[in-house]
Amino acid sequence: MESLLDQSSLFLQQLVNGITLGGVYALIAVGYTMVYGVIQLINFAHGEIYMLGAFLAYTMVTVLGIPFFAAFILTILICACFGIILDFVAYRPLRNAPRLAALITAIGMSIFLQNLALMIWGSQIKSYPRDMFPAIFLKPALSIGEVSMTWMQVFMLSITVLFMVILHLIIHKTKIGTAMRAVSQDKTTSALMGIGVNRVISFTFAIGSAMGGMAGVLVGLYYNAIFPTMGYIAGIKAFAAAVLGGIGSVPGAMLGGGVLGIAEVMGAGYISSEYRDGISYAVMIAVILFKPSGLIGRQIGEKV
Amino acid sequence: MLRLEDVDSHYRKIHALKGISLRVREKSICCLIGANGAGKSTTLMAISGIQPISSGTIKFGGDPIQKLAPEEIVRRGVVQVPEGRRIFPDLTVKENLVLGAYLRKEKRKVAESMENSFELFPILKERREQMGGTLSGGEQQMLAIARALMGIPRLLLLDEPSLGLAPLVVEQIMGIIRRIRDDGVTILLVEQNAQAALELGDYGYVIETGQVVLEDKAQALLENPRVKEAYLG
Ligand SMILES: Nc1ncnc2c1ncn2[C@@H]1O[C@H](COP(=O)(O)OP(=O)(O)O)[C@@H](O)[C@H]1O
Ligand SMILES: [Mg+2]
Repeated sequence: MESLLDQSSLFLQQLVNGITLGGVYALIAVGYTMVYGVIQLINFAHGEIYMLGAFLAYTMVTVLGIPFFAAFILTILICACFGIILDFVAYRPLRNAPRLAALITAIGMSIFLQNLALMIWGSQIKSYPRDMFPAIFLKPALSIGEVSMTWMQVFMLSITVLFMVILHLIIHKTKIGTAMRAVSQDKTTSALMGIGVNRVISFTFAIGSAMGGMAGVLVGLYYNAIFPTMGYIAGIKAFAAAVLGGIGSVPGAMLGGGVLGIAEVMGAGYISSEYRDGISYAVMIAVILFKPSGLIGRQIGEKV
Repeated sequence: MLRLEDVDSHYRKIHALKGISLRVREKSICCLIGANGAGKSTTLMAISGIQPISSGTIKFGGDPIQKLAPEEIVRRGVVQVPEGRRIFPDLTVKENLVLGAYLRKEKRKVAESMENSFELFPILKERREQMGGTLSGGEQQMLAIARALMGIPRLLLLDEPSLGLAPLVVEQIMGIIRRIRDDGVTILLVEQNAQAALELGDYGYVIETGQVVLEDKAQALLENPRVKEAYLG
């Protein structure tokens, strides 16, 4: 009886941790999927925007002495600008070039940004000062028996859910969101409607990068470790989440992130923590083999 | 109202337009007829600023527009209904219409235009929450025209609106085009269906392999032996 309770509370605890982590993967994954949706490019440098987000907030707090919440918001805005600049400098000149050229440029930008971070911040793992946010963050917000959720987790999960809702509203209820969907379906016709296609693409990069940067800060807080290559692994996992959900589909990225986060935490807890990263790769390979369109992706039929 | 002078355009190695010159007079229907691959769509895409031109000028209301971005050309009132309708398949009928009014700011007037579209095309009102891709060919053509009208065009470019439609539907569409002209919109109508186009139009140009080979009043073209043989069968 005792051990059964232990078992189920362990499971619930893993579930809570998995959902929190999955939410962050989802935040990163929407950036991949939205950019893929509008220009069919896998933006490999997206993981680096996430990493830069973590470092920017770190520098603002430790060097410039900006309060954490202000630094958080500033980071989100700056990352949005980074996204726009990244597109403008690296991808826009290649808009009509073969897709492989843009893909290689994306990998190049990823390596460049990683090295830039290495030069600025060094290779040592940094952590946010513990006193930068209220101490209550590390205390349990609610605990039922053995299962508990810290205020940090509550904060992460609410931010994630809040921004997912905002994103959904932008995409489905605003004119620019409708234009984003139009551009992802047919760029020429979008231009014929008077839509500034490049402006819509910039906007897409801005939103995706803002959410990526936000995720960087959240994960930096959660694991209390930031380093120049952190975007690489997180990027691959979020990309796996996007593929799992169906690349190009925003709800898919949200679902994929959630599923992957839970799978990862469960796998680490029940099988072996060494498999933690391997699970993402396994999921990605399985999806590509058995259901390339993902959980809720679909083939769009051309109608004449 | 619209004047093309000596317009050349290329797709990499293909010389698609070789010195096209034509004029569209205000409040008239001008037809552009020609076989498949003659360069009709390329001409319209050049006017809309999508297809770059290598030489020549395109003037609208006296101003050269060949260097303007597509959205700027739409802003000036030149709106195209592209070949094959190109409805956004995964947007609803209503969203498709909203995008037609993308550059218009006054929400209330846009809503009024939407009501007008529904009056002109009652079927679209019934289908307004449906995805564009689920409409029939004829309905999609109506949506494509309605969407363009949402932009309040002064000049409407229509690329093969009768393509792939049943004769009865073609007749309906042609009737609508006439109504649009009667409302004061100038129309440049591209068609392979020369009969239907010339019956409706005031003036026409025949193009072959990127060049204008014939131009005349629509009635005269209908009676022209060369046109009869090649396009009216
Ligand atoms: N995207 C394209 N790339 C290369 N060649 C094209 C393209 N579109 C059209 N062409 C060529 O340009 C010429 C004119 O085509 P188009 O303007 O579409 O003719 P039409 O509309 O009269 O059927 C044709 O020879 C066609 O093969
Ligand atoms: Mg054509």
